[in-house]
Amino acid sequence: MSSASPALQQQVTLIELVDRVLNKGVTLTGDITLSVAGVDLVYVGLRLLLASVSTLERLDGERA
Amino acid sequence: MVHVYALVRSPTTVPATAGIGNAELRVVSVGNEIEAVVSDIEGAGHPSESAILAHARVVEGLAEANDSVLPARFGNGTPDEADLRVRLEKRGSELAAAFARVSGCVELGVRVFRVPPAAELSGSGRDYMQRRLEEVGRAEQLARELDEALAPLARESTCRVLASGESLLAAAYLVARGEVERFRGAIDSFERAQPGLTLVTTGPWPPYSFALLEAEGA
Repeated sequence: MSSASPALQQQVTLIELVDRVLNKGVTLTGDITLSVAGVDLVYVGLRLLLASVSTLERLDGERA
Repeated sequence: MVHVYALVRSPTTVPATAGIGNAELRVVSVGNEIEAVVSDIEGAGHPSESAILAHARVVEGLAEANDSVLPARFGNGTPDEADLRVRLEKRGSELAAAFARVSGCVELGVRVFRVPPAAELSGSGRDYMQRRLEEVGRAEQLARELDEALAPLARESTCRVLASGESLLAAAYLVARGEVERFRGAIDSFERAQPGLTLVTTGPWPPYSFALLEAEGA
């Protein structure tokens, strides 16, 4: 089993999901309508970048 | 606008899931026995958290119910179904190759972290660059080792070197459905052999990272 805590696992899953939906997959129409600014706002909105890995590990340890 | 979730080889089994904004999903034939799963969307489609999750849930449902899907990137807006059909009808051979590439496979994501992170870089510009270069070099070496351990068990792989604070690598693997457990075992072995590193595996995902079809004229 991975040593990753459930909090880290969840955080990474969300990052990976958003990264896939917005940045991967086939482009069919040639004009992706998202602006770079829009995508940045999504990341900020999801608060993906606020919690560091060690914070998550620590929070998880405290909860356990 | 019409929002595209994924392309599927016909006949498509549509999951009992609503689309973005609770819109009903529709199947559009785009020629060459390929169908697009779409729904109507207001405006250009803002990538809100709920829209991203709804998109992902539809693609996930399609991947579970059908042999192979090509997830579409969020933001593939098209004015109407006729426009989509015209664009895709003439690209039959490219689409066939893209489907063959991911057929029978799922995607697994692997992120590699170092906890605690490397000491903060300080000192002169010259020292900084030297140490930063070493840090990136170590992450690249790690990427090669990870590739050696995991790529033979995957049909395809990609790896990005991040080397940013705690985040070292972000890799993705295209793995046959029947090989997922074996692949997870190889990830666990790799992690045990690398003290100080934490590997986080995500998925199985629909094959987002390996769904490739270059935009027309790009």
